[in-house]
Amino acid sequence: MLIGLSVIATNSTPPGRYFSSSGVVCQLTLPNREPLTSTRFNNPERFSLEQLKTNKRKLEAIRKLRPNWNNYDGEAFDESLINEIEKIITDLDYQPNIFPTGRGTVQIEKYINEENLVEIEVSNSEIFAYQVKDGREIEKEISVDEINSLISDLYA
Amino acid sequence: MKLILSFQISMPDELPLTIADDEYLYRGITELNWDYENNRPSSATFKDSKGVSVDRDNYREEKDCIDFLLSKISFFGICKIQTQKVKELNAIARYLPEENNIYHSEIHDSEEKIQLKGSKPKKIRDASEVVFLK
Repeated sequence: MLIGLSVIATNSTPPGRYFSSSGVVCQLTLPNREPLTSTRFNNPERFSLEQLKTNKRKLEAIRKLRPNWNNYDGEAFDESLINEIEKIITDLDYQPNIFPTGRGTVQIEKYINEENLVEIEVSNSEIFAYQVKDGREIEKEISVDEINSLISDLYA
Repeated sequence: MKLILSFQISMPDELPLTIADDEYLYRGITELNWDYENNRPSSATFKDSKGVSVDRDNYREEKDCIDFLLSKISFFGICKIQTQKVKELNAIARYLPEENNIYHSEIHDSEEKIQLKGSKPKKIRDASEVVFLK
């Protein structure tokens, strides 16, 4: 356990130097490598806790919307749908933007630019994706398991 | 002595049944559908189960159209799209007046289908112009 912690510490301090519990400075030579990429937390573009918090706050606001919330007879949102969206966004590598629709569905969208984007409309009965990848448009029904890869593919 | 001022926006009795191609269609935007990242409405604004409600302009001044929408409700923003653009995107604009709104119209996917889905809401958003923002 102690050894593991030391190695992690050396990755974030000047290379090859750490302190042992006895106070003796030890030298360790590590190969010069890129930062670890085994978790989404190591890539600042990938995981944004702040954006996730913002999305969860927005989701709570959507949960509380009453019929006619958009002044155009907008439908209220099913509790189970909001819970499902919360689960989905928590597991995403890249945080999207979320928006309510007048038909009681939630839109998850991510834009890199106008040539690379995805809009996913989630309801209790269907998940429908509109994707533009390198300028090519695709519209299709997808499963919940495909949402993360569809968004992550924008960064591939 | 109290002076009470009241404003009444006059409405015509009837409008032509067909919306002309050069008429603009106005749609109110809620703040939850405002995309702050890109400073524009999300395409979710144009997703509705009963057709996307809009007000046709019937050649009113833009300010009058905005005032008319805001006289009923406090929208975060208002955008407009020309009927011709709606047609070019293979959607249709239907004139469906209501008792309290003679300008009420709806954008439908097609003659057969009401709900806009897939690429159309985004394309309509892209072709629209924001004319009022709080």
